[in-house]
Amino acid sequence: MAQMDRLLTVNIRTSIYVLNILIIWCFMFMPHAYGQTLTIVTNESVNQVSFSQSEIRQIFSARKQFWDDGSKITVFVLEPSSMLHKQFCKQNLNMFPYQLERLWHQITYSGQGDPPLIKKSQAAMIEAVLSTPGAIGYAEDGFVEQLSDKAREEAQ
Amino acid sequence: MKKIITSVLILLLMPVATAQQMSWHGYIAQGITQSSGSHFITDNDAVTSELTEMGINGRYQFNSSLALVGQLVYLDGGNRYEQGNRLDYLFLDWTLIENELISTHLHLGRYKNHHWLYSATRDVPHTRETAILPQSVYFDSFRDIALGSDGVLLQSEHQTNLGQWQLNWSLGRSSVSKEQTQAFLGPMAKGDSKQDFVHQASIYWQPASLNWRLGASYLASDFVYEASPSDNFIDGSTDVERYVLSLQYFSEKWELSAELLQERRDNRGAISPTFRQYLIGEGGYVQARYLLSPAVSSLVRFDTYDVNRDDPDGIKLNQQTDGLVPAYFGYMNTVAVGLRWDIANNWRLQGEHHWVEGAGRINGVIDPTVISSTKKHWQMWSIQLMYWF
Repeated sequence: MAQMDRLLTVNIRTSIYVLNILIIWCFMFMPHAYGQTLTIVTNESVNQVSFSQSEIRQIFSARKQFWDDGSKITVFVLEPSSMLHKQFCKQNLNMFPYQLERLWHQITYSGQGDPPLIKKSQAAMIEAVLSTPGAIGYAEDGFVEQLSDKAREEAQ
Repeated sequence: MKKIITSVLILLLMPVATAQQMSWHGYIAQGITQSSGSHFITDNDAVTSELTEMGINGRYQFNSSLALVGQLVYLDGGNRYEQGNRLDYLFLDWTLIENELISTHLHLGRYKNHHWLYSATRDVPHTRETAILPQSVYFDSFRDIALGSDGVLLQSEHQTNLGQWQLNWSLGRSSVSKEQTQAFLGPMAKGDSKQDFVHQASIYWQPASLNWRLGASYLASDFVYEASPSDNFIDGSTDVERYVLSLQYFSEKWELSAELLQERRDNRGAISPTFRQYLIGEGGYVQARYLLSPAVSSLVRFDTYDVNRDDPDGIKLNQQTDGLVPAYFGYMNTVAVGLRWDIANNWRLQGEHHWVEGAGRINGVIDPTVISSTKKHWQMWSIQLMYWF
């Protein structure tokens, strides 16, 4: 709850609607066997407003490490054991969490890039994405909607 | 080459919007280990803490297309390889193309070997399945030469309608230490070995589902031995060719990995001016890992290697050496089991036990002490605690 308040405080302070500007969600993922629909969230510095599935895969598997304007992509993910991370890996990357983790380890320790930063909750993930230029992450669609509604109410 | 250097310098000096960025990562692992019935890891069946691996790496990003990366490691693996510090890699990572469908990088300097499943990070404990990798493919006596080389590596990944393709090509050279020379020829070798070159290429394919990964690789390398004036050996050379087929299958609860190897060695000289030996060794391994829970998994593996495919039981080897070298030095079969526990984020405890028959991948076949200290059936085990950041 404290994290949520902090996030909303950030939104109020910046007086920006989460729905319109701070979070650009570009790619909705179907829930299938999992209960949630996932949304990609990016920092406002990211100009790109739509992603193909192949591009999402390139970014989250470290094959694409820079945005088209040359700025560094910072990837945030939830803990490998979380259900949401499993859902994201399976549905959008066609991988199991252990595959992705291994891939990142190989990349990190053979000099090919940096690993994603792990966040413990969706609130922490969104807060990190919002405050990190060039950042990208994911969250439940419903969670993002709730934040958007609250931010709208606060702004009014 | 001049053009490449000029281009790199232009990129280095080019003003770009991207902020320069430095990042650090590392790992530390300590274990206990033993080999009994063989001096492969420890002498006289001793239990030892000579299973230490530490590394620190850095990446300095000049701009979106150029980075300097390097890793220093300290390794102690008992008798398996030379203990000490190593510059694992240090290269310029030059991004030639990076978009939605293609990612192509050129590595200039001391690059990593990306051609086999575990070759790029075989010294990084948490990236491999067991502390002692299957010796058929990841022969420890060959490890420093097989880890990477000084030269150039090109890596390109392509997303297509037929799946994901990865192409690797490299050309370089590694220095061969005195210890490695003696590992091949025995402690009586007083001269120096040099690698003329190592040329490697590999291709990997994954279908769109990404649950399979299939690969094939080729290696060609020439070594020369320059005898010292007071040497028991004379000048000689070895030409090596390696063909490896790799396979991985991933499912939610279990994964399968396998690699098949054919190694052709053409040895000349060293023992006598007319000595010529052409050997085709064959082998490979298959391993399965089952995830008992997200934090705990178990492993079982079978690994086999025949030094000479025309002499899989080593009988000819025994006859040719007048019984001096036992037949079981002609092959090596290993069954291994392992257990892994991810204790907490970035912490892991991993244990393994290997039952071995034969000594085809024990170094120093010519060394009488190795012959006398290695039984036909022997075992090894290890437990290792690891942390990474």
